[in-house]
Amino acid sequence: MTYNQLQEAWQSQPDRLVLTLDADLLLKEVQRNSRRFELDVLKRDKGEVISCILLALFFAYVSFSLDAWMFWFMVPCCIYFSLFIAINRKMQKGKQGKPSESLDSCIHASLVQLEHQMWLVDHLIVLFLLPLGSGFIAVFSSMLWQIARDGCTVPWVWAFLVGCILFIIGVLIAIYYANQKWFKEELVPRRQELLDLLGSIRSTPE
Amino acid sequence: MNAERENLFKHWLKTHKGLVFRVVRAYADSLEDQDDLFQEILLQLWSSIKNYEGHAKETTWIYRVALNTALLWRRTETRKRKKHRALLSACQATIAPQGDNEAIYEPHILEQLYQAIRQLSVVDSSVIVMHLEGVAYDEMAEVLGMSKSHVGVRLNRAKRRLATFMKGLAHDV
Repeated sequence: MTYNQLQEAWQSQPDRLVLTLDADLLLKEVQRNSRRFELDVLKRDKGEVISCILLALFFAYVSFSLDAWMFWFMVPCCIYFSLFIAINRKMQKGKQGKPSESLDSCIHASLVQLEHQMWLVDHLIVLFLLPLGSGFIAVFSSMLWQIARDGCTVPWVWAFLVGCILFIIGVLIAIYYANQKWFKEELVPRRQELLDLLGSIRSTPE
Repeated sequence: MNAERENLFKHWLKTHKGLVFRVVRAYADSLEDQDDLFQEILLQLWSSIKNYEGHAKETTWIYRVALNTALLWRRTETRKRKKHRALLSACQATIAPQGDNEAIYEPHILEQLYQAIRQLSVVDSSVIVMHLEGVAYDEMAEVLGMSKSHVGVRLNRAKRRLATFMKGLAHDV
């Protein structure tokens, strides 16, 4: 079979294959999915920021009402996260590519977003783990200091608080390694795929 | 304004549904993947309509959106993200009876052609799909963001590779 015959066979598809579609139904489904997707993005963006602000208020309330001053350490931590998430999302929003642009622009936009994700993972310790860890460890360390000052000799109290600190350190280490795994297994190959695709479009084949 | 968008979208669906289906089949193998990709393309087409001012040809716009979506589409991400009912099931495809003077093309030839296209590199497959559709070189160049000469060189290479993958079915390229 020649290429021209293949082309004829290809182009004969609309003639032989009668596609019945309900455009109204499809439109409703697409609109529903589009609204759901926008809602998911809104929930994610606003939800995370609002959760951090509410947590900050909660810790401030607990510190004030129970006179538990150690929880004040969590307030700047939560405020930091809410600001970071809000600013980061706002900065990234304008950089999304549009599929109606050229392929080169689309791939470039995807690459920029991916490299930003990689940058965040690269700086995970400084941007996330240290602030989060510092807040929690400060809370439990000040509890230890408080019970030491009060002369508490109950061993399980000491063990519990030390255990909490060790648990938090363990969780932070696990988060770090999980992100590194994701970085190597997902982000790096994806970046290479996009770079290869970009190179493929921009270079003239032999 | 929304009514205009809706009417344009429905017009595109009715007039160019074949184009979208063929792109979906060229880039997705299983029915589940085809449904995912079909859904993704329709979503992107719907989102892109507000930017469509009518300067570009409709087919150029739709090819660009469909091919860009297909080329950047990722199977696992799409499935995790979406909880949708199968859209392809909303469309029923039936084979029209063959006319007396129509050349007979065995369905397996088209299926082999689709399989061969899926084995090409992503850029080569988009060039081949558009060429099989009868799209002009300058329109292909506009869709892909390449020069016409680059498209020509790519097309020749893609045809040679397609012939290899077709294994004797297409021997004259």
